Amino acid sequence: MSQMIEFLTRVGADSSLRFGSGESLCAAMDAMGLDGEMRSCVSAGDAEGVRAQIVQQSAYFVALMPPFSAALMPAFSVALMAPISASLVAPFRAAPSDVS
Amino acid sequence: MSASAIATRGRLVCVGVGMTLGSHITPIAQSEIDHADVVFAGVSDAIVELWLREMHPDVRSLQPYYAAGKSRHDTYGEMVEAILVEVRAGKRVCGVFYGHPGIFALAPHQSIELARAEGYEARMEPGVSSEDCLYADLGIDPGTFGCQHFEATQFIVYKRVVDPSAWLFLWQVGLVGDLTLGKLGTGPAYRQVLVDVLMRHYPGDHEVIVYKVPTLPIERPSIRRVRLDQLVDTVVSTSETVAIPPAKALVLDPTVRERLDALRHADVA
Repeated sequence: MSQMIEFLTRVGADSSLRFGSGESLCAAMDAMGLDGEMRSCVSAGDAEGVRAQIVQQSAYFVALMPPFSAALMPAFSVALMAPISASLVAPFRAAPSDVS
Repeated sequence: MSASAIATRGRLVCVGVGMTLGSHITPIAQSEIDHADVVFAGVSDAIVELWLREMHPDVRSLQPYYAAGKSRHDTYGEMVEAILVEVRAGKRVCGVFYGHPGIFALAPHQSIELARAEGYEARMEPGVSSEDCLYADLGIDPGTFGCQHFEATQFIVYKRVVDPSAWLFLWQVGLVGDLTLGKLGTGPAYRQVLVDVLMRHYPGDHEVIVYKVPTLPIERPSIRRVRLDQLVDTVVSTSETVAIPPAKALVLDPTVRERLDALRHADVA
């Protein structure tokens, strides 16, 4: 696994591997000793195939922002006109810090 | 404050590692990861998380905070609290997020705001965002016609002023219409609402682009072109963006043009 991560890091940082000829990529895979199904997946640009062989949980949830603060619903239209950051942080604000 | 207290004072830096593994990480982001005591990972791909684990011995995934049926509002609040616990414990904390940590990302902004409010040093380092990649892969210059960016649910829930002479980019279309904030994706019925709103401004046969940036360097960008009215039956994942090209020509404002001409003729500086 570590070797495959190292290989992907190298591909990501080297334009001749990422965008160059298939020969360059094959040579890099030879140097890394990549063979079998992993080699086939890399050659085909099959990211799902690569994920399936490296990680158990390939499904990842990707979203870091809600469309609005749940605390403001249902009256979101007017409330969002107020400074948004202060409204959103308020529910999470912890007890006063002991840091001076 | 004593020297020892200063030495153990927590701090927070949120960095972006870009969208594509190995291609986009900046030297300053790498440096912050290298020197952190604790790294929190809010990334877009399990392999990207493994990549981070190769860089640092204490990487804590933010992925477990998501769950079907759980409001993402709660999820993001828990992420912020997990990060702040370590800052308050005097740790040098690095929050690592995919893309740019300040774009469509609530937890990094809130973590920094809260850390500063509590007296800790906190800052953000930008990263290569999905938006940046989109401009490159689709050959769009945002200055040519102008751009509008909206979170998809926010776009349909509120009455927005849409300019069809500019590009329109809709983010998180894969979750469009989810008012519970607890779904991990929404389907055709929700996309139908989106399309109905869009068709107030664009014809049904207007071509739209469903775009996804590669997260692994062996992939190519996914660029699908469909008619707007076909978007209902087009599966859109949470990591895809919908780009809508301008449908109308730019219209000059003659009043402003006359004023500018008058200034030019008067040779006003």
